[in-house]
Amino acid sequence: MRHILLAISCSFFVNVNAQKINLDDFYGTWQLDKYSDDEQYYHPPKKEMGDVIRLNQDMTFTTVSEGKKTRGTWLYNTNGRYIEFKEEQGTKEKMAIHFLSKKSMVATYDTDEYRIWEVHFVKEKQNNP
Amino acid sequence: MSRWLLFFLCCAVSSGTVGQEFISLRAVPFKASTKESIYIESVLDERNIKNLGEHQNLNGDGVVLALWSGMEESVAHFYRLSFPKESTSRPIVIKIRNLNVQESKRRMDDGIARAARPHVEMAFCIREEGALKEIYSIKHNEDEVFDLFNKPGLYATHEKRIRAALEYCMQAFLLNYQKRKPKISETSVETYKENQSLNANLGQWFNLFTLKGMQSRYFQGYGISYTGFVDSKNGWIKPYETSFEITWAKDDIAAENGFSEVNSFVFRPELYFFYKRLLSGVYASMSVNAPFGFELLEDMEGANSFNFVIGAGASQGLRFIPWQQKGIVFGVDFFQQLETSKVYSFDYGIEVVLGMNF
Repeated sequence: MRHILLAISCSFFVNVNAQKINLDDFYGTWQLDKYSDDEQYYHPPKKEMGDVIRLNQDMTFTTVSEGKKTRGTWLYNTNGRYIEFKEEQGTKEKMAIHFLSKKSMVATYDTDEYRIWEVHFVKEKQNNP
Repeated sequence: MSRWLLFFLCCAVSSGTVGQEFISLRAVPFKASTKESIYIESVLDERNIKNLGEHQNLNGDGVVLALWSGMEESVAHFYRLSFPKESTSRPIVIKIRNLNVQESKRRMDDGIARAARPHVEMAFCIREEGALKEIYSIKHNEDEVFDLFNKPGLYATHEKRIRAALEYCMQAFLLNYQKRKPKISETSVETYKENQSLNANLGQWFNLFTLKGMQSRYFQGYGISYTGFVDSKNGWIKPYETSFEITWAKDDIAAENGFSEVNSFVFRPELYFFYKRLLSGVYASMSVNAPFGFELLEDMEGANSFNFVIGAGASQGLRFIPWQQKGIVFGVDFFQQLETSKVYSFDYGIEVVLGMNF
C-alpha cells in the first residue's frame, strides 16, 4: 500500500504545478527573443535574429530559421505538454512547452544539442488572433 | 486454528504483493486533432506481458510496475473523458498489443544522461456485422531525456509519458481516419500500419570498470577505465569512456635516450569510439583518441625534468561480456599512438583488459 500511495502522490505532485495551456494562445507568429539556461539570459546570435515560428489555426506552420524556411503541420500534445512539428519532408521535431501566454512562450527543443537551452519567444502584435 | 490460517493467508498475500507498484493514470482530456465523432466502446489488453515492466524504485528495490485499475479500464477511462459517447458517434475498439515503460542511459556529447520511454503498440478497430475490423495500427515511443542524477524526476513522470503516448496514438489515428474514412467501409480495405519498423527497446546500459596491462615497443604500464554504453543488436554502438594510464619506459629504451627513468601519466579521452556487437556478449571495438598528460624524467645524474605530452592514438580490439547483468569483462586491444614524448614519437603495442560490468 505504501508503494501505491507513493506512486499516486508522485504523479499528483508532478502535475499539480503545471500551467493550464490555452490552445488559442498558440496561434500567431512567434519571434525568437532570447535563450536562457540555469544561470542567465542570452541574446540570440545575429544569424538567428529574424527567426520566427508561425502557428496557424489550420494546424499548419511555417518557420524561418537562420533564413531557411520550413513548412509542415503541428500538433499540441496536452498530456505530454509539447508541440510536434512534422515538416513536409516527413521530419519530426518536438518542442516542450514550459510557459504560454497570449504574448510569450518559453520552450525547449527536444534535441541533444538544444535540450539545455530554454527558448523565449514573443508574439508579433499584428498577428494576434 | 483459524488464527493461524489467517496469519498464513496474510503472509501469502503480502509476499505476493511485495515488489509491485501501481501507476494511477490520470484522465486529462485533450482536444481532438480532427472533428471526427468517435467514442471508445472498449479496450482489449492483448499484451503478452500484463505489466509495465520491471524497474528499480527510488529505494533501489526491484519492483514490477502496473496500471492501477488494470490496463483496459485505465485506458478506456482516459480516452472516454475526451471522447464521450454521443448518439451520432462511431464506436471504436482499441487493442493494446504492447505497453511498457523503460529506463536506460544514453551517451551525450558531454557525458551520460538518463532516458525514459513508454513503448506503445495499439490497433484501432470498428465493428462491422458484429465482427471487429482493424483499420489502423501504430507503434510509438514517447522518449524523454533527463539529467543523469535526476532518477526521482524520471521515475515520478512515467505516468505523464504514458498519457502523452496514448494521446499521440489517438491523434495519429484520427488524422488517418479522417483521410481514409470514405474507403473504410469497403471490405477490401487493409489496416494502415504506422511506424512498424520502430525500435521498441531503449537497450540495456552497461557499466564497465576495467583495469588494463599495457605492453608496447617502448613502454609498459597499467590503466584504469570506465566505459558506459547502450547495447544494440544492430548498427554501431557509441560508448562513453574515460581512462587514465600510468606507464614507464623500458630500462634499455630510457637509457638509450639518456634517462635512468621515464614515467608517464596520461588521460585518454575518446574522440571517436565505436563498439560493434558480433555475438551476444562479444563486441569489436575501435577508437580514435587524444591522449594528454605529462612525463616525469630522471636523467643519469639524477636530475628530474617535466615534459607535457599530447598526441593522437587509435586502437582496435575485442570485449567479452559473458554475463549481462553483473560479471567479469575481459578483452584485448592493439593500439598505435603518436605522442610528444621525450623517448618516442610513434609507438604501438597490446593491452589486456580485465574488469567487471555492473
